[in-house]
Parts: sequence; C-alpha cells; structure tokens
Amino acid sequence: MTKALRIGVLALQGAFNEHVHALNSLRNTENIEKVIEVRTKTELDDIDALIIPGGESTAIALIAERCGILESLQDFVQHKPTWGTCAGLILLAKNAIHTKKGGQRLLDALPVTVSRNQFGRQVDSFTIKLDSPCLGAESVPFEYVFIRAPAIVSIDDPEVEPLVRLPPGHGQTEASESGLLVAVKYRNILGTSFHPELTSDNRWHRYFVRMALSG
Amino acid sequence: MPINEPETKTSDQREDIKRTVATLFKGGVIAVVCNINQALIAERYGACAVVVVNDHPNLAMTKNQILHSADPRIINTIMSNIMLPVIGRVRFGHIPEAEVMEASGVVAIDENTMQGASSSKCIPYKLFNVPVISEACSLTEALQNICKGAAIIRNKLTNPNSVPTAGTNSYQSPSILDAVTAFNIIQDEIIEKSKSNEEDQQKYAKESNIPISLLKKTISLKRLPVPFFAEGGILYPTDAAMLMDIGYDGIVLSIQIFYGSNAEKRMRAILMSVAHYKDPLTISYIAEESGYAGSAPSGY
Repeated sequence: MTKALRIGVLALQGAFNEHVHALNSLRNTENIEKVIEVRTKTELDDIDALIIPGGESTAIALIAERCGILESLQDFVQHKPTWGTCAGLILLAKNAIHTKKGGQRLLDALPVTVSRNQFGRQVDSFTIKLDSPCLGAESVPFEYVFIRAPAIVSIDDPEVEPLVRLPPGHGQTEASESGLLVAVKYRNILGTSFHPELTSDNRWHRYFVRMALSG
Repeated sequence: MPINEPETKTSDQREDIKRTVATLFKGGVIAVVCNINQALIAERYGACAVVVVNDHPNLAMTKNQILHSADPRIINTIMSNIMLPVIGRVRFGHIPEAEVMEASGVVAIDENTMQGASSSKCIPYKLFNVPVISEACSLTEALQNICKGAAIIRNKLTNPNSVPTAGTNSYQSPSILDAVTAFNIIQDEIIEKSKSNEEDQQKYAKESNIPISLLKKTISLKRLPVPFFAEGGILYPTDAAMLMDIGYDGIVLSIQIFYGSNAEKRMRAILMSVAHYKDPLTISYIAEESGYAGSAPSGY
C-alpha cells in the first residue's frame, strides 16, 4: 500500500482556504494523511506535495522572499509534486511576459512562457464548460473559471504535456487554429490558469492528488 | 445607467464571478493610495491590491481620507504602471462616481461612508459588472448588503475621530478599535442567531428583509459568507496580526502610512505580520526589527 499523502497549500496570500477545503472534501476517497497550510520552511519540509493558490503573484513572491522561504520553494518545486493555479502558474513558469516593470521573481520550474492578464483588462473574467478527457472518462464537462487569468503562450520544452485548450477565439491576440493552453503537465508539475478551487467540483484536485500519489 | 452591459453573461453567473474575484484578495493587504508613487511602493512591498482615492491639497496636514473619487487620469496612470488590481473608492450612494470608476476599468469599487455620504441609499451593487466592497458594523447591515450584491464587507468606521473631516485640524490618533468592535459585534450576533430557534430565525430574516437561505448559510459557516476586511488605524504590525487572528480575511491599510516616517519599513513589517499572524515568535521578531511594536512613532 502506498504511503498516505501529506499535502500542503502555500498560505502566504490568496485563495488558499478554498484549496484546503477542496482537498479535505477528498479525504474519504483518496489516500490523504493530512492537509496543511504552509507558511514556513518547517511546514514545507513536512509535506509531499504542494499547491500554490490563486491570488496576487507579485505579493506571494515578495512575501515568500521576505520570509526566507523562496529558496526552499525553488528546491521543492524542482522535485516534488506541485500544482500552481493562476498566480501559482505564473510563479512556477520559467518565463513570464506582461509582468510588472522590472520583472518579477519566478520559481523557474515549468518550461513555458506565461502571459499575465492574457484575457484583456482587469475586469474580463469568464466561465466556460469544457469536456476534459484528462479528468477521466466521465462525460460531464468541467466548469472552468477564469479570473484575471494568465495564459500559457508557448511551450518551451517537448516534455511539457498540454492538457486543456480553450476553443479558438477566447483571448487570443493572433488568429491561430488551436485555442489557448490553460492546463499543462511537466514531470512533477501541474500548471493551470483557471481556478478549480472556486467551484465545488473537485475533480482537478482529485487529479492532482492521484498524480502526487503515483509520482 | 452602467456602461459595458455584458450581452453574454447571465445575471447569476456575473454575481458568481464577482464573488470569486473577491476571494483572490483574501489573506492580503490592500493599500489605500492617491498617487502613482504610493501605488508603486505598495506593489514593491507586497500589497495584493490598491484602493485609489482622490489626492487632496491638505492631505498631509489633515491626514484625511478624501471626499471625491479619484481623477480617472490618476486611475489610468496607476493601472498602466502597476500589475496589481486597482480598486476605485467612491462616496456612499454616489452612482455616477461608481459608473466612472467602472468605466475606467477598475477591478472593484469600494463604497465608503467616511468619504461623505451623498445619498441615504447605497449604490445598486448588482447593476455593476465589478465587485463592490460595502461597509457594515452589524450583522443585519452586513447581510442586507450581501443580499444586495456586495462581494466584500469592510467594517464601517463609526468613531468620528478615526478619520477627521476635511479642512479641520482636529485629529486623534487612529486606533483599530472600530475594526475590533465591528468584528466582535457581528460574530456575537452570528452566534446568537445560531442558537435561536427556527421561528425566531424566520422572523429575523423577514424583518431584516434578507432571504432565510442567506441567514442559514451564515449560521452554518459560523462567519459572514463573503470576505470580511478590516480598516481603520492599521499602522502597526501587531495590530495587523491581531485583526487577522480574530478572524478578518485581510487588511486595508490607512493612507496615513505614507505620511509618517519610514512608510516602506512599516509597510513591509505589516505585510509580513499578516502572512505570519499565527506565529507569535515571528511577529515579535518583525516588531523588534521594524521598531513598530506599539510605541507611537513620530508623525502620529
């Protein structure tokens, strides 16, 4: 029997509570030992997998740096299962465009280029139901919530696996046949630009928990 | 009438989206600013959003929160130069101010009675495509505003000495008493309602003009069903930590922070203490390091 999963959610800022809630809803069916909020290196050392939540990526990065946890995070995400949603995706990327003046600190783990606020001005947010074969054979589409979302504009390594694409026409600046990528997987990392923690559908959390357990 | 009426979003979906935008501010510090320099400092030190208010010639002297909403040109300058979400503050009930803010492209609107009420009725929150931050100092007020579509509740500043009137020099040292009192009052009321019987709950909901489902949800969550932010006199890291500890979801910093000595140091300290409010050792380290454990610094 595999070891039970100790899973943490980075709790420096943002919608971490919602992720904790979603993970706790899986405890009856998945092999989870504990779910904790992570703010310190000690707490980071005590988990097997990490979620970096949506929120404000510059704030999270700055606070992490000031707290002295940024280096530990950089080490963690190189090897251990990590899921970045929205702000978390930006932080995990190796390259980000349309960031603040002077750039921002990144964890440099996911070889993609991410564009902040791809979908236009701050207020453009939307939801869309899409079939998601990666979540399993269930026929029910998943409702994707995009709030001031970033998008993956390029994949910079052949090992990066695209998981979900928007239909063409959503938020693209150039005409292209395929739609924007909003979920990818690379080795131990899962990156999504939508917010699964803000709906009651926990299938993406189940996906990550199983990915972490098998990884 | 509001501009930018969406054609494709249904009303309920739009309300859901507004509420989810609001959750992304949680656990963070929102800075009140009136110019680009202050906004840049806020971003540099880890604020998760800024509320833009109008600059006022007497601002430094009276340490006042100003009356009118900010000049859209300032809003645009700030939005072009920082990546943080920009929130526009408007006077209570002032629909045209709110419409101008929304048209400027702000992420949210912050309706504030301390700006000076210009109406006896609040702005109609559901008419706007952006989330609105509304005030309350009682459970009834909070639930009524949530029912009207408020996406975030902030404590109301009821102490007239917390923020003085423009043009006067009367100014008492701000304190977090308003924020603490509001939280305790609302929390006590939620507990009281949870202990009351079905009939009393129905009666209360009817008299307050709120759906019983909203009351039930509040009771089952044991807290307000939207993010609850603290504002008023938050200038020390220990105060920020205390407010997070009693149960607030985040902090709105006073603009006074930019007018005292060493704004950056103070802001940095407060940001750290909000992230680490659960750890007393870290707080005491931050307080010691920054020198702002509670003794009044110069300028206040």
